[in-house]
Amino acid sequence: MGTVVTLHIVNTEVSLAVPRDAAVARAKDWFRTVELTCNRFDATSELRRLCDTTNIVTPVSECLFEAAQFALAVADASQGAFDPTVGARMESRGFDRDYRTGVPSRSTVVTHSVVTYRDVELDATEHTITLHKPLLLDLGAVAKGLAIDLAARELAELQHFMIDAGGDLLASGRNAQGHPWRVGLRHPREVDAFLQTIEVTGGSVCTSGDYERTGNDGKHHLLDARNRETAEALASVTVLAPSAMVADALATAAFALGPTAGLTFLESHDVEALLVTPSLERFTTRGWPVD
Amino acid sequence: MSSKPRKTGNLVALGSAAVVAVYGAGFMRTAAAAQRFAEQSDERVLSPEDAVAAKAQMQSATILSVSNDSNFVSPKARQAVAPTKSAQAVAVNKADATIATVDSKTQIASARSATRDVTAAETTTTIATATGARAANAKPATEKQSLPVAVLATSAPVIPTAIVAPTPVVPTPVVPTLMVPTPVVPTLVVPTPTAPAAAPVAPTPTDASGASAAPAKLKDGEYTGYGTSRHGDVEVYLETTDGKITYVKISQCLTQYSCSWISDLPKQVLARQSARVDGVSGATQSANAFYYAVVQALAKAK
Repeated sequence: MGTVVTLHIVNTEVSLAVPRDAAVARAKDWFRTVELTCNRFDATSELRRLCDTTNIVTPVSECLFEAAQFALAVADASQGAFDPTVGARMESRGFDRDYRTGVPSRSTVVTHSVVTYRDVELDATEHTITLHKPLLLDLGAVAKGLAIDLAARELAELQHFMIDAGGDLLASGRNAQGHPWRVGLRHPREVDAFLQTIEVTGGSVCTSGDYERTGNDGKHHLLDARNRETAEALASVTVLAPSAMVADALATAAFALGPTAGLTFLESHDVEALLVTPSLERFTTRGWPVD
Repeated sequence: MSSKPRKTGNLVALGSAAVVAVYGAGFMRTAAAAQRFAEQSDERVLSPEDAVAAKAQMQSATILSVSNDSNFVSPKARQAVAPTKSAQAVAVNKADATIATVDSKTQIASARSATRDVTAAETTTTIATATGARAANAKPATEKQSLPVAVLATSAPVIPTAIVAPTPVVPTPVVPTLMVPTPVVPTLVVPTPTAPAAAPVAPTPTDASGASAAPAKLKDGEYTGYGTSRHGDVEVYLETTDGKITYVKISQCLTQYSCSWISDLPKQVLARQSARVDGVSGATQSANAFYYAVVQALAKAK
């Protein structure tokens, strides 16, 4: 993940069964656990070591299994526009280093042929993953959200808090003034402006934008996995959903699908969203909050 | 060959089931599986560094499972999709809590010392912790002691805690027990310009007493702050007028990665402040050093 995570916790005098600091410590531990499991940039992560195997039935942790399973479900639902097996393709485009630190960490995975999410087999009974071709999984669109959701469960008793993991947010309850949390949505073309400000009292807001990271070809990091090219029909997608993992993954998938198919996809999964094209045309789901 | 049919009807439901499953399984199952995995991969040929890491990981996994063994329950939790914690989850949490307390004691202690110079009735603590991934990873779980913790401080009923997620480390062989004392700095309380002091509505008891007390007002002036991360340093210069940040720039950039990565951040600070928002979605370009620098500068302005 490699992001700064900020927890805003509103001080309440409610007596807690779990001390606040213990809850915070456990929330932090989840970020560590998920990172150590799913980080594509750490050669010792469970994910990377799984990707050193081909055609070996590998028992994996709950955390890796569920993250992979959800990523594959999103791939299925988006007809492969989103695909977690694009890791090696991402590396070849220069996304081979940790986003925050710039430390290179390239895998040794060489893909000889086109790989897709169909080359990953999960066994839910045995909790195993089998990669049928050499491939590098990229769970970036899922893992950070999963960590946020897990942290949120630890903080649940505190009621009023917001988790901000590098711009992926989950808000619960109300802010320090007793109002809903106010979340600004970054404008994809103007760094010092917001597209809109929305109020959130329980749920997650995640944005996939073309401004986030660029590769060595100067293009951004979001691929349409169906043709393996950079998705260029959208500039940003913001999703409002009950969970950060869902919001983040669906925003990424919708970005790859483009405005029309993306909107249909998001509507069919009952999340709210704002999609903005490079020419700043806006599309919203029916229930999207107006300013 | 292809993966088994999956239920993709409702991704929202699937997502929350996944979170519950991971949460329910907790660290126990994760540790157990990680250990099995480590054993398996030891059989393959590993590079020397990988071997060290794998061994360290195994070691910590083993310790975890020994100390928590009585709490181990097999994967039934996957069935417990209801949002209530399963008994297993609670048991696992108990074990976790003991580990966590060491951490929080330190935090409390430092929070107290910071509170002294505060006048307000409530406190906001900014706690930043940072740790090297390898160091954290390699440490046996039992001696998971206090991470370096820095507390900035004060006044306003919000407690931003910043966690620097562990970073993948440069592949040099590391002594597994080495705890990197990352110089830790407070983080981005920054421009959380808490919303206008409108009449505080429920439900935060503490608010009633203090919501009208605006967040610590900044003294007007020019300030610099220095932020350090393992991959370089950033110096930030900022000006405050009428208690607000009016100008921010990166005055020195000594990072290993290109400075263009963080060149937008000063503008974001201002935008965020003037829009009176609690958070920004899509502000993903994180650069720890920059935030630390801003926070250090703001601390001087208090």
